[in-house]
Amino acid sequence: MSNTPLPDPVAIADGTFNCNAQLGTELFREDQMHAHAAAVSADKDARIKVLEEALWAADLAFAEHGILAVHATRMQVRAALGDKT
Amino acid sequence: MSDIVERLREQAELVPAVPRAPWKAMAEAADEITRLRAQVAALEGDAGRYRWLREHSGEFQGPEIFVNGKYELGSDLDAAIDAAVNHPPQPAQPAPRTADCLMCGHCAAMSNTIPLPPIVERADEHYHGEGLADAVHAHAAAVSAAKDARIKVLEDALVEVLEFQSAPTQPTIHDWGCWRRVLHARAALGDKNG
Repeated sequence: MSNTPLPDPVAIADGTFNCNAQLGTELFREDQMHAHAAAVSADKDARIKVLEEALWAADLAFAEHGILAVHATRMQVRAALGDKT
Repeated sequence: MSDIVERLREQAELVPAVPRAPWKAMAEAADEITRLRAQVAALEGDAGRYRWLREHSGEFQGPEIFVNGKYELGSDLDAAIDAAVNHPPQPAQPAPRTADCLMCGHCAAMSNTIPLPPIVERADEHYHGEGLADAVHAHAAAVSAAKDARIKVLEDALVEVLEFQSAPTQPTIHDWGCWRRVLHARAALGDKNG
């Protein structure tokens, strides 16, 4: 589950080498896949941070100003959830 | 015409009783030529094997040659080897490793609770050990799945908050019931919300 695009493959398996790969398979170097995994992980960290901040804001509003203040964070909560709301 | 080495030795043997004469140098030259011929033969064997590798790299089931971690084919192989010989890679500096990152410090800012695969813990300086790629891939997949689960929990909690926020502004028993669910959702934040 990630919107992070894959890197450009260094080659497409065409049977001339790397006989373990199926024909047509995109081939990547280890450093490319490592960078991709790091980018995916960073994207997910950022997503977690947005969600946590929205939840904290709602919780803080309740703790400091009571139940009605929770409604003030509605926009932030909607934004954090994106189009899923 | 006989071989130059044989002729040199024949000439040298004609006057064996004359020490330090040019004849002695001829015998030494014959020995040196013999030694150099053996050396050339050995080098030609190595060179022939290299030419075979260069010419057949990239062929189906042919040799795959990596120089400094980069896949090289025949025409580029000479230059790649020359570059590697003239500018050998510097020893890798040990980078701070986090649970997210097995091979470098690029992801030092990230964190997760997924333990590193044991193979990396056993062989810190042997990153290309057998099975390491699978272990690293499995680790990355586990980290990704854990973060997906975390995102799901947080999204569910925020949906609860949104449902509560959609309730009438005047607090009712129903609102408090909703907020109890929000309180349960707080657990998703763990100790960060303590």
